[in-house]
Amino acid sequence: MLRQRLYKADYIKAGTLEKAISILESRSDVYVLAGGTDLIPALKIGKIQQDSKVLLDVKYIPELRKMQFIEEKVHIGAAFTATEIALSTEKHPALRLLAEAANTLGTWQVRNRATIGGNICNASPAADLAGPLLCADAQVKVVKRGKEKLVKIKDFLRGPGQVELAKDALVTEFILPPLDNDYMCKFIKLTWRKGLDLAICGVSVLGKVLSPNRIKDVRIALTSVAPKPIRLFEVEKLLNDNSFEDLKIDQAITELVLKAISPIDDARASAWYRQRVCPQLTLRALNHLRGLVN
Amino acid sequence: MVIRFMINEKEVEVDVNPSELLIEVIREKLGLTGVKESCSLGNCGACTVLLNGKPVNSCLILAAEVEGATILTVEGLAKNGLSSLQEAFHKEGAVQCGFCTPGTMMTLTALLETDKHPTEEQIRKALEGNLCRCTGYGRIVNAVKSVTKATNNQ
Repeated sequence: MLRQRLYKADYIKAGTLEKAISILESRSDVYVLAGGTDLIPALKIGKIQQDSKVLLDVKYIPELRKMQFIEEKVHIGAAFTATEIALSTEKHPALRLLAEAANTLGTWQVRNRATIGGNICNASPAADLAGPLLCADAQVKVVKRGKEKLVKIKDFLRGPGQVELAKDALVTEFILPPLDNDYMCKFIKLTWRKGLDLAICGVSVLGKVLSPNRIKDVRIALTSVAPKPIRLFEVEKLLNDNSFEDLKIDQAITELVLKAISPIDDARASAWYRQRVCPQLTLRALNHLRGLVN
Repeated sequence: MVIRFMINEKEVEVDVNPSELLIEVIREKLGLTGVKESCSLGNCGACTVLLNGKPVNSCLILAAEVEGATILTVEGLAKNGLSSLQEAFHKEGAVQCGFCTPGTMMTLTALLETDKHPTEEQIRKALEGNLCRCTGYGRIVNAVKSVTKATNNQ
């Protein structure tokens, strides 16, 4: 049921990481509020309970607002918005891929508020920023009282709406490992309309294009075709070991993609349609990379 | 809780509940009913206002979150008469039922602030988050183009 208003939620602005953790530890009725573009609608439609909850605003915590380049790694604070990421001109190839994806998230209004932390922790199987993070083998920094740990993004994402995150912990940043600047990337998101829609299928590709027929260290991630965003490890292995000139490689890739995905029927498309379109989009993305090198 | 912010170049102080949304404060406490509520979920953009210069869905923001911020609504566009975008909307017939118009105008005002000569593709991309069921967007895009053409001629 859509309730257009929130009635009994309380609001606390956390100015420091310390305060945020202490609230998360001491109360069980807290929702972390970043951009609010997933949380507020979820409260309104009753996907999560709205009565007597505390909305903990983490947008102003300094650790979540740092963008740093340390030893060739990129550290992106969890409270950076999709717009801020989309406007990044940094040359780190994974950040370029992330920016390409961020620019397709929702709408301009949503991008101005939605955060990378929120997009990942909401853990929609269609999460736009998950594909690039998976291709990058990104790490998620999770902070609890007195300790912090790094979780690999593929382990952090557990399933639809599920992440590896304790109730008293907070995601503070995402770390992109070093990558040579000559890696190429491509992001394709198939939607019904030109904007706004969640993906029917999202493809992220990152790799070193040695020649139009050889790609080295390729990483391919898909969204909206499995319970969570996935990497296509078997397709990657095939491409690392073979040339595009090898007979029937398109067919081999298609078969491996179909093996890896488990799409469902949903509001955006049927499983049937996704099975047909997903391999084609994967090939399209790979061919785009090949075409970038002469 | 009392929050202070700038709206349409005026400083205001409002007592709000923690769970009050920005759109209800603007419409019901400040009486600025130009901003419209349609989908309530951040899809349609009828509720678009400018927050620190950026278009946002006011139906998704708690009033408490705008402490110290600067907000612009459609009522703030006409300073010395109508803005050039408002004039263009009028001349080009870009308003039919008018329900999407305040939101659409705020988005386009922000677009023209950042880019004085957006391409048609950029205009339509900016309008991703403003749904219009009446005009088919044609005359809205024409209105923006007539503003950029006028800027060219200056």
